[in-house]
Amino acid sequence: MKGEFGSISRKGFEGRFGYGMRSRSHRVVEDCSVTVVDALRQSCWANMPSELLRDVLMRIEESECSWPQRKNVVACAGVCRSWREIMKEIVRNLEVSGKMTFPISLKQPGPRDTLIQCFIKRNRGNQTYHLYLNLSQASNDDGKFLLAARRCRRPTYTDYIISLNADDVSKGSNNYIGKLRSNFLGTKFTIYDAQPPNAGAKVTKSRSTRIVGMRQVSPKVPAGNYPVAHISYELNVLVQVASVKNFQLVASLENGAGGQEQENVILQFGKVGKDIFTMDYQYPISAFQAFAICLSSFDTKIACE
Amino acid sequence: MVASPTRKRDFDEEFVTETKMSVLFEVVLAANYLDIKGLLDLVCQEIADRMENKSVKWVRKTFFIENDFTPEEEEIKHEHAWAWEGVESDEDD
Repeated sequence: MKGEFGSISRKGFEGRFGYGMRSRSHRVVEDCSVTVVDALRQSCWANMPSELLRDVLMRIEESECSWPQRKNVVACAGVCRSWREIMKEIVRNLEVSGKMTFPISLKQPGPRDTLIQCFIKRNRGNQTYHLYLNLSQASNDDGKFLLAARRCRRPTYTDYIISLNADDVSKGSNNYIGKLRSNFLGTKFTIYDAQPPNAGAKVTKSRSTRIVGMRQVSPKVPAGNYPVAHISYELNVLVQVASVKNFQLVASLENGAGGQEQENVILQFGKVGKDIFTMDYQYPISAFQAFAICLSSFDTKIACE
Repeated sequence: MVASPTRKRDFDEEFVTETKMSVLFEVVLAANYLDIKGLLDLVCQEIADRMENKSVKWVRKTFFIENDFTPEEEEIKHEHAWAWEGVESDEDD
């Protein structure tokens, strides 16, 4: 067998190798028909041994860590089913990897020890807000688009529709992922998710779209409005000019060993320009929740303490 | 005469960047079968590098892969649109 391979390699590989399936290789070498070899070659890539395909895809996932290059990982997951399966296995969720990959990352809790840095751009003209992942420490202008929100005022409440697509922010759209609703005074808010919380947990392991998709988490669950959180602002001070206030949301954690309470900043929001705000968040909240909480601070008509 | 590590590296680099995709595929299968780790690493990395910034359509065309998504297709389009938001698409799209 070794001698045979030796002689093949001296002639060169062009047109001589078939699938690499050992039992069939010598039959392929004997067959001189060009059309057969072409047809075999055409289907070769699709039948590439999965361990090799996995090796290539892992290299791509490891090297394309940050945006915009990370879009290549999303592209690979959109080629065909087998590629998608492999990519889903390779890509780890946001909490573990700290890397945003698929839209589902927006609904996953952030990492535990680092804040994910984002910024929000407000457009007063059309009442929209765009959330971006901060790509450069130097400026708040270089970002990867994450979410868009549009404010819809109604007589007794205000809705902020949240979408995956900056140009398509409406409830009926396929890009709709949730909303924030405020009461008339802007003191009480509810965050609604278009998908039920923990929908992923209900999905059986055989479903292939669980991690990667947003709307396809469970095809049988219709898109609706599932309340996931409430925010209240205490009305303490009335001021003449309402303004957006910087804030930090802090979680108290009990340190198991010493019993002392530790405070962990899980969200911080601050104004850095006329219509630009920074938003940094980490575990246990997600980008979607953080964005909604920040939106609620835009809406307080009466400045609240 | 044994080539120096630098010359070997240069040779590898030249070989792998000037080889057609179809031949790369055959080399990778051979390296896998013959268990030649260095060659396998080299070629897998080259394949990964060549795919950088390429569209899904380019990948399918180059690798002769058929799109076998059906119900997921719609969701994948949204996912793709989100990933490419604000990014200029390459001419291969």
